[in-house]
Amino acid sequence: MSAISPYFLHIGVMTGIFVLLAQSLNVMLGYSGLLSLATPAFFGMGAYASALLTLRLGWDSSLTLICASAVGALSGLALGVPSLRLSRHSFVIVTLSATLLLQLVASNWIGLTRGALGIADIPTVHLFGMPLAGKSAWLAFMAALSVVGVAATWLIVSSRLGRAMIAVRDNEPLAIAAGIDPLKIRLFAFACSGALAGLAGACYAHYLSFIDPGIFGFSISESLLVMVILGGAGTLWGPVAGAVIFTILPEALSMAPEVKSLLYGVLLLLIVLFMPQGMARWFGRQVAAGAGTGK
Amino acid sequence: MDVSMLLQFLANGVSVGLGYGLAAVGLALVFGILEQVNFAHGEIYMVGAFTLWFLGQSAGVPYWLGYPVMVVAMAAFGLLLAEVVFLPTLHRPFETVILATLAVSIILQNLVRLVFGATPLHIDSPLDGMTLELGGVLFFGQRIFVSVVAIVALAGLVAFLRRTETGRAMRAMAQNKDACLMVGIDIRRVTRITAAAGAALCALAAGAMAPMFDLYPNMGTDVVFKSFAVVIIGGMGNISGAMLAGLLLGVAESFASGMLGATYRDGVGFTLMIIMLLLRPQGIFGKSVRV
Amino acid sequence: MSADSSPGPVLVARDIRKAYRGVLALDGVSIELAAGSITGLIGPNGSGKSTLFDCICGFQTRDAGSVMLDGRDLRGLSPQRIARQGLRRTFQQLRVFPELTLRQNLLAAAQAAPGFSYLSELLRTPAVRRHERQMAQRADAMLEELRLTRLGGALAGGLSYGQKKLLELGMALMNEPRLLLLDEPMAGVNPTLVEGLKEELLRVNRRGIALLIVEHNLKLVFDISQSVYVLDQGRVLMRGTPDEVAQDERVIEAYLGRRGPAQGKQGAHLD
Repeated sequence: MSAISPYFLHIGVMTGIFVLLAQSLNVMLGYSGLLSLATPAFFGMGAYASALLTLRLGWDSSLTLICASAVGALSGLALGVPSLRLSRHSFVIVTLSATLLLQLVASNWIGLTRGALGIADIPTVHLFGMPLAGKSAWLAFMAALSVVGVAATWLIVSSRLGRAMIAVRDNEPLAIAAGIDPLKIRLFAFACSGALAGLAGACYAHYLSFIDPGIFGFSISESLLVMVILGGAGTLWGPVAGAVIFTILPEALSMAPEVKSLLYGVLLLLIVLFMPQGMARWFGRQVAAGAGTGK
Repeated sequence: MDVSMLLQFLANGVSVGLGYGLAAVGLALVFGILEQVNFAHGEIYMVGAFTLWFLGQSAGVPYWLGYPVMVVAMAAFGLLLAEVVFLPTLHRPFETVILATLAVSIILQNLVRLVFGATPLHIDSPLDGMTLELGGVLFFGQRIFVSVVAIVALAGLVAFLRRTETGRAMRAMAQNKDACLMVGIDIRRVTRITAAAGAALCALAAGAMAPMFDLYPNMGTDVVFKSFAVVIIGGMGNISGAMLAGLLLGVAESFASGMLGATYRDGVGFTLMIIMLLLRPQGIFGKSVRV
Repeated sequence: MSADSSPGPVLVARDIRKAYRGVLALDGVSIELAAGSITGLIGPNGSGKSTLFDCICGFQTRDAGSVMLDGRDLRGLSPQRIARQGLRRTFQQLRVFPELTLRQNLLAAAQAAPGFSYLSELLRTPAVRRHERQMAQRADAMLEELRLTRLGGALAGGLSYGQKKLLELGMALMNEPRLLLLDEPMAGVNPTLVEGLKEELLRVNRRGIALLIVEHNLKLVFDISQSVYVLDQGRVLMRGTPDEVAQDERVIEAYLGRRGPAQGKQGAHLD
């Protein structure tokens, strides 16, 4: 096991983080049909929350990771309440603006976040006192969390609530006539999305041991949109495949960041115009709702 | 705090605000008529500014010539955008266009970064250093130019929308796309013209304002955000609303910056936008290509 | 929930008024539906029938008037709350959830029992699972009744028009509503299927569910309704048994078109 190069282990860890993020976006874009550009907001909130709780209060990671997830979920609710009532265009704009706003706040609230200097020397994850030492341990940890994340997503989308999300996505007036409250179910989806992204953010913070306001930047949305849409939004495994492929591929081709972003842009444009269902379409679109007790 | 200082804030705010308004009007036009949000709007501004830099500093074209050439070039780019993005997606869900224009913005930002590098650039303008003093208030030449361009452009746009047949077709499409088909209005043609006009207006703003700031590949993000804020405050799709909201934003920012400090300037746009969304989501004037 | 109809009317709508930008779509419409009855609602195009449905069910806010369901005032309730109170509707434009299977469509229309929390749904507590099983049984029974059992696992998007109509009806019935508003249930349905659909409606009504049917297929309406309301230009022109309505001069005139000064008040309120 120790013969595996640290480089591949690193890619593995980042893949795990992106699997969580991809599912976060998938819950909104795929299952709820809402283009949320707020994932970086929840990602960053979770990262800062866990980092600060660990550094300032000395809490064990078993606690801070859960708190980070909770902070993500609460951020989803806080952002969702004003924004989900708006027109769909305004929703997209507001989610994007939220990330810009958080970047601004993080840069200027120096007392809390040390501003543009960022927070350094974030200790690795300590589970009940035991540290996660070395990339192999991290890989195992992220693999486990990825499984948890995918399982959580499955729990959500195969439940009555997941069904309601899909119903609201596909035919809102009919959903209303069936007694479903679209706003509540969308808020729930946003909170779930926030929880997943917040957890990913916390892992990121402890793994890289450094975060700064740039964490709220748009670049992860770039990658996530490609991963989720190409993988197949609204399917359980499509975004996972997308996350795996698009974390490994740019590394394998060792592209400069601008080239990678450029290619992502081109890829996104092509997918959106010509293949909006993503790869999942090729593998036969499964019942989009996943399993379901009523199947 | 004396009156002349306040007047200075006002003067600065008005000129910047008119610039914001001009930059946002194109976005409002596209939204009002095509019902699409163009996320590449900021990059049109950015590419326009870089093109002007290239023409001026690299190719040695004087500002007065480079400016209109750049605007025409960006209008052509708007046409390209219409062909590649807006026309093929006429009947697709609106997220498609948002994602497509997002993709375009990513492409443009990174192309510019690769070609020009990340070092901030600067455009020299013949108006550099020119100032005019009136009653204790200092007016910078470039800012006056921005205000003039904005007012003339808006007047031109209003005249175009009101008096020409194409303009009427555009207003008709903003009201009811389906009805347009019935009266023989060519939607594809209107789409092309709207996209070109939107890009041209944005480019006009870029060319006038670019000499005042540093150019960097990311600048489109600030522009698009400010434009979104303006359009949301004024009412999505509302032309005069965009100008007035732009003015409001410019003046508010100027006072906030002057009285509270520069760090608060960018927060003003957010704050106004959030207030508007919470209290009156349709904006001050509501949606309509009202002229 | 079904057979014991309360003595009072299931629906009382009084003086419903609704205007759009100066056009008066509904001008003081009042209707009363007896529990367990089948009532028809007819009228020429533009008479306000769909608007009335929307106003009763909360899909549009009425400018004035009250709606009582089994004596409960529906004022200020959102349309989804109203649906949960036992007032269901179908739409003029056929609606199903295309990406869900038939069974899932029906389940989507069945609610959680009151008092369930999001967390218990996610964690699949025993109570949640029990409820899901009950709902699954009900869905299967519904599929059986609609003769769609073999398609239970197929995506609703792939159904034929007639099958989708049946599914739509099934969804509206999942929670044994007190009253079902049907907006042109026969529109676009193959004539061979109309009879089958009609039988299904009668079967549903025998369980105690009241029906209010908007239809242009007058033969069907007169066939199954106990009473019929006629709407014209936003007002109730008359109410009566199918025979009375079919023979009424004013109704015939409203359908066939205006004929000079004979209108009186009806023409006058158009401005």
